[in-house]
Amino acid sequence: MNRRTAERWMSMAMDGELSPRCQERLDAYLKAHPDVQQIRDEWGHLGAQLRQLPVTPPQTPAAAWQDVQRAIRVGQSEHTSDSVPTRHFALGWASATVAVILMLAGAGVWLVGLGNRGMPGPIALADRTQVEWIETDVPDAMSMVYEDETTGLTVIWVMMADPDQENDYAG
Amino acid sequence: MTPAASNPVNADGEPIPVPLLVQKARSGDEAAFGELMQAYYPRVYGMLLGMVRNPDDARDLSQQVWVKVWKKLDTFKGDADFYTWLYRVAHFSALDAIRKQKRRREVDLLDALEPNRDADVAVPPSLTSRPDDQARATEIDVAFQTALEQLSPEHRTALMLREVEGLSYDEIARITKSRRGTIMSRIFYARKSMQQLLKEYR
Repeated sequence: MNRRTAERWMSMAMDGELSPRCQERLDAYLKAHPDVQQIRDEWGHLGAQLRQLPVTPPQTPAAAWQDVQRAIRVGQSEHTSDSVPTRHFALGWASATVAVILMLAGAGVWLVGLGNRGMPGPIALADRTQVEWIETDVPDAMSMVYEDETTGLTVIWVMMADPDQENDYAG
Repeated sequence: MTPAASNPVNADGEPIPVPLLVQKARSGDEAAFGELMQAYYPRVYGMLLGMVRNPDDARDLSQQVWVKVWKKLDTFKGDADFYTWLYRVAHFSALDAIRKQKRRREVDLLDALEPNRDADVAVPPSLTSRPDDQARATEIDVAFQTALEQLSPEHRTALMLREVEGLSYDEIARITKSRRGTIMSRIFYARKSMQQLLKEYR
């Protein structure tokens, strides 16, 4: 056994953690090495000093318990108040959802209303503008005719087929 | 294991029924928790003081630990002794506090730290110049405290739990969530370090 091992075992022996067999070997080593035995005495003294350290709490347990009780109650009230913003947050989302639904419904009603009042608008135009598709002599073209409400003029659209697109299809 | 750790007593010196009180406290019985707290308070405070080495910090930390224990009591499964679980909560709370304190110190001016350290280590000249026994005892006490503070919190805790609380390596390992061999090693090196630091006072 070397000195390092002896010191480790000595530490364990002091704590009652060394096996009896190892203890015997350690005892034999210590008999032959009184300087190592002196270290054990120093460690023993160190332990005694640690146990003598003043650890008197600044409060009695009862006074400390009162403080802890207060802290627990403060924590509980904070926890309760913490949940208020969460409720507000949830209510906020619900309100926002309802508002969006109402806005969409309102927009729909507005569009229908515009159409019914004859105002220019997508639904109104779709209802009121009479579009007529007519035959044309222009090759690969389509035409449509409708009467513009604002100007009162009859508009004729002729839509030509795109030659490039045709080529693509032919590809 | 010390009898006090496993079998704490109340103010009248009578053993308290820990498992029963824990069970009641878990179901929200504040009075039962109060009884537990008061029985273990001095030991938990002593352990925290051993780790943080400052009575004011230990007092504040002690309160935080007990509030945390109250909140987390439902996570105590009962498969370990209550005091092992309690010491573990205290141990890790103290480690957190020490780390936060260290970070705060690092943020502070480094040169502000040096004079403090010197002040802690240096023995007042008035003490060295006085030959009486009381001055010598004070000098040794200061040196002892300083040596203890120079250990890492992990080494100091292992040593304190062993020497002051009388806990076994296995119990300390459970509290600190370490291996038994690690605890053995920490205690050995803590003793060696303290011995080296105090050799001039032998």
